[in-house]
Amino acid sequence: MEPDSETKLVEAAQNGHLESFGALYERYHSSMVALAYSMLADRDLAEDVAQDVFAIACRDIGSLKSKERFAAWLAGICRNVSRQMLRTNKGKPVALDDDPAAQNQDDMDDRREVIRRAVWSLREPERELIVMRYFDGFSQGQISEVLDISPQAVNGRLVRAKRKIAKYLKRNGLSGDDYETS
Amino acid sequence: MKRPENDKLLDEALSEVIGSEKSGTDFEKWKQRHPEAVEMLTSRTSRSSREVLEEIERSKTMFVRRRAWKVAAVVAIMICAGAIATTVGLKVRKYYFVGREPDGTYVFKTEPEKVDIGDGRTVSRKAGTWVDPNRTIDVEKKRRDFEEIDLLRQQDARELVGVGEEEVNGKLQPRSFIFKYVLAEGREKTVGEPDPDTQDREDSLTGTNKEELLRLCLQRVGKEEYFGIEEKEVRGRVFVFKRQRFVLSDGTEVIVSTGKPK
Repeated sequence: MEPDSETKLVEAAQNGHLESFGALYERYHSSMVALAYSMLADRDLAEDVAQDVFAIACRDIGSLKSKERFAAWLAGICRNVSRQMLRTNKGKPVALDDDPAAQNQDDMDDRREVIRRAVWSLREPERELIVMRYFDGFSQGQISEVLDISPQAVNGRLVRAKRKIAKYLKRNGLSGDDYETS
Repeated sequence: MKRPENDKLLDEALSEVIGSEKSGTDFEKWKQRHPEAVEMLTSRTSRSSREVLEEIERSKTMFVRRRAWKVAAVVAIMICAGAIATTVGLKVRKYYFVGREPDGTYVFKTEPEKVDIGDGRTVSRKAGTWVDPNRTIDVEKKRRDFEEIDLLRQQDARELVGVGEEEVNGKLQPRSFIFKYVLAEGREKTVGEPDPDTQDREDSLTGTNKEELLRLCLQRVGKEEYFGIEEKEVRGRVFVFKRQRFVLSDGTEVIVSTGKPK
């Protein structure tokens, strides 16, 4: 979607045009699920958060001043709702040594578990990037819009995050040769 | 050519572990589940009166903004009225709803009023009140609550139920209180407020620091690591303070001390 047409959709939604809001929903729903998942490590909760994010956005879209930053604004709501979810213990905070998702999946093989831990050991901004990239195959351009950083920065940070993951895997017994990144 | 192949292996592994079935994006279903939100959007005019009010508000200045509630997750509402709380006698201040910030934070303010700052000089100040963006509130009811709380505050008809202290690299920060107010109809409201006696202390944490501190606090929910417990008297009441230590990514050491009545 061209930025200009997205701005028009936002403007139309601000003027009460529901179909335009629907188009924005279709465009960003998956990325909000991914973003929430990166914080909550729980897909069902992430789906619930995405629902709430759009309810808040629908209610408050009139307060958005920079129409061209709709995705970043939505991401801000998503982070707030996810944190609220963590705060109220509907979700569980993610910690390296106590990964709830890993605990709940006894049948997950060791390799998958170590990779999951590697991802959730990253700092939040890097984890957001990695999860968005691999959750639903979002392009660098889409990630760039949602996380409000340049496509070049997305690329550079992805490479660095993957290096950290590869190092983690090596330290934890998965062959470094297999996963070493360029 | 080994590295690109290995990179591909890692891509595949990450897709396998994180990858999702395409999640449903059924807007029709979403609309059915959120009729109130839909109603609010469709009843929207091109430029709401709230936006106009917000613009007028921006042209007036002079208020001190505090966002400490982002760090103190237990505090639902933050009121910044310390600057005008010294006024003698009761004043009925009208609060009004200014609007919401981009992150959804609700903003309420009073009309500006003259405050004596000594030497015969006065400045124009107004109280600002912010409400957590994740709460769903009845704006008019909340506005009336703030007016009632403001009167109770002036009479000190409140109970101190929590004290928050922070040290950043050994330097004491402005202290915050949590007061419980009982409104006329019996509802109890817990409000976070700055301690006026410590507001001259410098706030050493940047916005980024505060975000990180909040994240670290949240990660420790349910598995707090206290390294010290002490008793102290605050406003005539003994509080038990539990101290936690956090080190931020830039090396800043923060000691968060939370006091609850003994």
